[in-house]
Amino acid sequence: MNGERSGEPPRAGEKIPPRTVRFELADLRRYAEASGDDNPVHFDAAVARRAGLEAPPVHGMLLMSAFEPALDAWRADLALRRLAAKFLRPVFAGETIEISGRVVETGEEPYALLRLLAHNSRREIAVIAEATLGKR
Amino acid sequence: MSADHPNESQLLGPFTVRVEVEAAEAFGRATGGRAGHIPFTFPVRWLTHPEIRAAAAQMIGEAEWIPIHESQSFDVRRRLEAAVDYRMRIEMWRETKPPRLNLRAEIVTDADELCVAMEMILRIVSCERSAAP
Repeated sequence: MNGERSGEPPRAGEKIPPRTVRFELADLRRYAEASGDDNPVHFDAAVARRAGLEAPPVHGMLLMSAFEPALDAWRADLALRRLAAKFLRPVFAGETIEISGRVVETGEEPYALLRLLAHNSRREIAVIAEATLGKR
Repeated sequence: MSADHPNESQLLGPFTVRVEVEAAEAFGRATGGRAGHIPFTFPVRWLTHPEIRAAAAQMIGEAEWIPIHESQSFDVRRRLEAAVDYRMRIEMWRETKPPRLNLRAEIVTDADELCVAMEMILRIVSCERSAAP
């Protein structure tokens, strides 16, 4: 957590510290078991090819879920209220993903609206998201 | 929950849902969350309910299809608590151009107070079509 900023209102333009995450096939299997999402496209290369993908992709929800720890690391005194994501491009097992974000709007309470991005290892935007945070 | 879209929708539920501590911890470990905390995205787990899956398969109406997650949202009005029963209502509808399945879920307390609203859009890839030359 960024202790210096704890309790202060977030500022528009402020960036969350970027972080990298990487999901291996074992992580996908663990997520499938924990979430109940056993869609074979995430494990079976043949099924992935039939869906037009070059390899089994990481679950979109696993990528989206990675935003919460990144936000917690930035401001543990703020809690997520809303999170909305679009999955634009696939991320494959073993790829390094960079998570970044910026405050785009602030308000009373405190309140902050952030734009979040997850880039895949080809530097493409794989996930674009918006998060609303408020006082915990 | 009411339809504001042109396609015919199906209402499912209410289903009784509950955050079991072990399940939330397993989900947190799988997603890199902190211990002792219900992950924000945990309610997505409830969308794998067999009755929801069966209704989705019937609505899609194809023998072989693959869902690809296009978008997802969670709007939390009231944090969920562990070991408390909630009710989840689902509205589901199909789009054909392009082929999609939309799910909207509301998780409410016994007193019908909204806790979480979720929306999921799945792109439906037909294996029959994609296998054709």
